Amino acid sequence: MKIEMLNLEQRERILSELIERFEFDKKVFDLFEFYRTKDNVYVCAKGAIDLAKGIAGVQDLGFAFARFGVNLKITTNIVQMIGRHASKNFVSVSEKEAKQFIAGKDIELSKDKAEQSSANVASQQQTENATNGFVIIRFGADNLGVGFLRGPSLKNLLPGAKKLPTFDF
Amino acid sequence: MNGTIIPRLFRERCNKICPNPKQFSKVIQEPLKPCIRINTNKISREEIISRLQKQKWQLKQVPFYENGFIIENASDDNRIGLTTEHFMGYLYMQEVVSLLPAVVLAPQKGEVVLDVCAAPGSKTTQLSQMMCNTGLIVANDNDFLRLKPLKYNIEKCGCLNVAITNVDGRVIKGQFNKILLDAPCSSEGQIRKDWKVLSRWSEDYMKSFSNLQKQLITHAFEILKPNGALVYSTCTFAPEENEEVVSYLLENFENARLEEIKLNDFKTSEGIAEWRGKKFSPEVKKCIRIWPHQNDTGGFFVAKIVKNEN
Repeated sequence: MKIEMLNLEQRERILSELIERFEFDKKVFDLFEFYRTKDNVYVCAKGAIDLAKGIAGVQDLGFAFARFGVNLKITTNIVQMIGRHASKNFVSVSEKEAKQFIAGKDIELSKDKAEQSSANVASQQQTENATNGFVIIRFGADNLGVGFLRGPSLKNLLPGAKKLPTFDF
Repeated sequence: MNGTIIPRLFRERCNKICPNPKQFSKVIQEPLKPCIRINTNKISREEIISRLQKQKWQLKQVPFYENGFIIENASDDNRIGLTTEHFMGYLYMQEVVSLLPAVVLAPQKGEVVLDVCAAPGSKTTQLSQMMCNTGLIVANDNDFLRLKPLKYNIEKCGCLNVAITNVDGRVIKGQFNKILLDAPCSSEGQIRKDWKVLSRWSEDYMKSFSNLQKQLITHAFEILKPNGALVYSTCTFAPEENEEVVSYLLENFENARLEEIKLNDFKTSEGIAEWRGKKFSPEVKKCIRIWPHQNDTGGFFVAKIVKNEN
């Protein structure tokens, strides 16, 4: 596997898209290094790319950070690590909705919440300022993963292996 | 497990080397209590303890590792694997004795560490958090099918300092500050978790691992940097797979020496210096054996080898 670190310009371009969408504090990414393949941006610990150059046969280093598409989609694993630093475009869910999400089901937000989520106005509660598109699903202090918000519908984007169909905490 | 027939030869072998064989025979038929490791790559120790205690989980500290806890009140209806904390990767289910090799290896921030037989990643992810997600861990496994669970666990535990390779452990290239060789073995020490290990058990099966283990430890020592440390571990009781392998290394490399292993409040036995008329290097007494009845755990063997500069 050939690992090419993102140059400063590529790094800025990718991070700025996610920072704009989720209002992450930029400092969160200071300890990360990034590299890309055709479809994904990968993240690893600072200095790991240089250290891995001396190792033959590396298949993976770190893990996927975001996937390219019409918009950049941040991965579940990264959201679970740094999602707490997002101050925009997250949807706080109830316990019942969190269970549905972990079980892999889509969520129909309650009417009030849908109105608040799609309003995208700063005057709404901070936990409710989400616009259509990729959003972080938050339950209490835990950032469970990523969903795609369209009006009152929240499409579940949890990877298959993480879904727990019989989840009930 | 109760009612399982324990092979006579297995019992005889253990009786010769095991302290208190009667207690051993009794305990291996009892199930293990689940144990968790707090994943400090994702959450602080204090925060998760507080959350678990609020949920009435009874936690008993693993004496030699601050992030290890035995769950005292788990049951089939009360499983910690079905909590948000587990889903989030704040916890990792890992047997008490499986926490030992990484603790003995004691990796430091910024080092380059090799985990020779890494899948499914319990020890790799533990090493990662012990290194505070810095430096580099090369998590290798020669079995391609086992890379998927390895990768899953690395991602779930948020390990950013891990590179995966799929190479035969006898030909890995590189130079490493520390190496963990948790070798493939006959798994006798896993009896409490999976009684089927007894249905596979035979002396030939056990001996088939010994040659491979000698090749693996030899190569691991060759790619270890001077002053580096190599931890060799197995989850079996067989001296052919433990002291004999370590003794083989000591006999072939003058610059290999064993280090004492000290664990707080955890009972261990010293390595066996002779087995069936075969004398091993007296140094192997520095290895440790963990018998299931000593601490109510699975069985394990650990040796710490240091490479002298000359």
